[in-house]
Amino acid sequence: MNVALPIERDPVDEVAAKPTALEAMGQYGLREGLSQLLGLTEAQSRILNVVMTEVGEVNADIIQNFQQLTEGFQHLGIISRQQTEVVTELARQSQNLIIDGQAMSINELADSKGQVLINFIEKILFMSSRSVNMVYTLDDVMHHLEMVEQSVKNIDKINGQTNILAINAKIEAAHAGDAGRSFAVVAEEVRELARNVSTLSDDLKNRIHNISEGLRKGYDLLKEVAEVDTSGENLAVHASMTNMMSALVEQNASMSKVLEKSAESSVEISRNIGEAVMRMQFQDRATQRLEAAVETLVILSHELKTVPTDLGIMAQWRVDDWSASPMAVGCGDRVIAKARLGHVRARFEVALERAPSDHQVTHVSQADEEIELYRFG
Amino acid sequence: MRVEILSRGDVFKAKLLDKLTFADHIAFRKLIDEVKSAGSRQLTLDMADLAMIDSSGLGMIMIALDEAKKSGFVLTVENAAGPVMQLLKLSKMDVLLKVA
Repeated sequence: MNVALPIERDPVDEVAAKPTALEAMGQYGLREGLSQLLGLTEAQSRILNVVMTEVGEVNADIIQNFQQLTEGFQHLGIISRQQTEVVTELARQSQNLIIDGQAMSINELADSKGQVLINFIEKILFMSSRSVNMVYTLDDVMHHLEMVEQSVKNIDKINGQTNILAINAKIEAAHAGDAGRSFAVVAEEVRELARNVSTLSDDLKNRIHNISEGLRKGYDLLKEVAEVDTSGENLAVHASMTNMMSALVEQNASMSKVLEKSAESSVEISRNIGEAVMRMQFQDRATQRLEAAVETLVILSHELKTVPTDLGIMAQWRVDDWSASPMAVGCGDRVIAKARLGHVRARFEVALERAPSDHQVTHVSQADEEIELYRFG
Repeated sequence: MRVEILSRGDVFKAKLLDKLTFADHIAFRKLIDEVKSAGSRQLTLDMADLAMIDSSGLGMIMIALDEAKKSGFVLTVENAAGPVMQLLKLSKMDVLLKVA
């Protein structure tokens, strides 16, 4: 951006310019020289008015734009502070969960649930080990029961032999006749005893069978207890849940760090915006300096306007004669030629009566308006 | 489950293969009885080729741990990996017995 007007003089214009006041006085005499000087003064006064107008408008533009800029930054500062509060609150809330109306940190929750899982698994293992222990005990009982069954079978075998022995004794007693009659009674008693032992043995076998069935059912039930809902797959699911809880805690910690960093950034942004707003107050100083400069220009313009009154009579000069002054024309030409901004040049042309007062800039070329605006983004 | 006896004597080393579940409780008990009979000072169970263990299997190891304390031998588990190791850790068995 460059709107400054260089004050350097063009040597070509200087050469081509009309004679200086002293040259004019020498060439045309004192009156003519004064007339030219007065014309130059009038032209300078008009140029000065245009410059004052331009400076005043630029100052007004600066004030307006800085006010808008300041308001924008102040708004930005408010939003940034609100964002900081939101992020801070988010960081705070992300640390806690409300469970049954009570705030609990995610770490506490994970520890609590993890401990519940561990206790649950310990109970399952305790139950499984006791069940297997009970199964071992039942195995031992079954083994003893099988031995009892074998003993009963042995009793049956002995009983069968006793029965055969009694029958044989009864046959032999019959062969002996009267002498064997009493022996036949004993043999019959022995046979009756064998029948009773056989009945008792059958009853014992039935009872042993019932006990065996009960033990087998108990064995099956214990097997179910040892295995129910405690398969490795389910334990693996529990392990997976534990891992998930750990992952949740880690992710929460990571998110908290990000949020804290974001909150710190927001605070930093708010601080920078505050500093920017403070620094923009330099505009007050700039305005005061511009106003002081304009006041000086006003005084200078006023002084220039008094010159024609003081010297005009001596030179028999009228205000409308100023444009005939070659010095005024030269000065005007140079000022207009150096004006880079189209609307400023147009104002000079109107002020120096090179164009009608309703003259406006209808087309501003790129070369005319060499003002660059910085844009963000 | 299949059991391979790798060594007997002071250090009794057995390799468990396939799965250790409820169905293996008799074979596992026989193994413990054999260790007790051998009067070994240490029982090492190699679980490198044990693909799966259920809660009954873990219960059997706990019983073996109790038997080890009663009979005066040390129970050690080695080469456990994957789900078996995961379950040993989850059930804190890795704290109760030596896991190499």
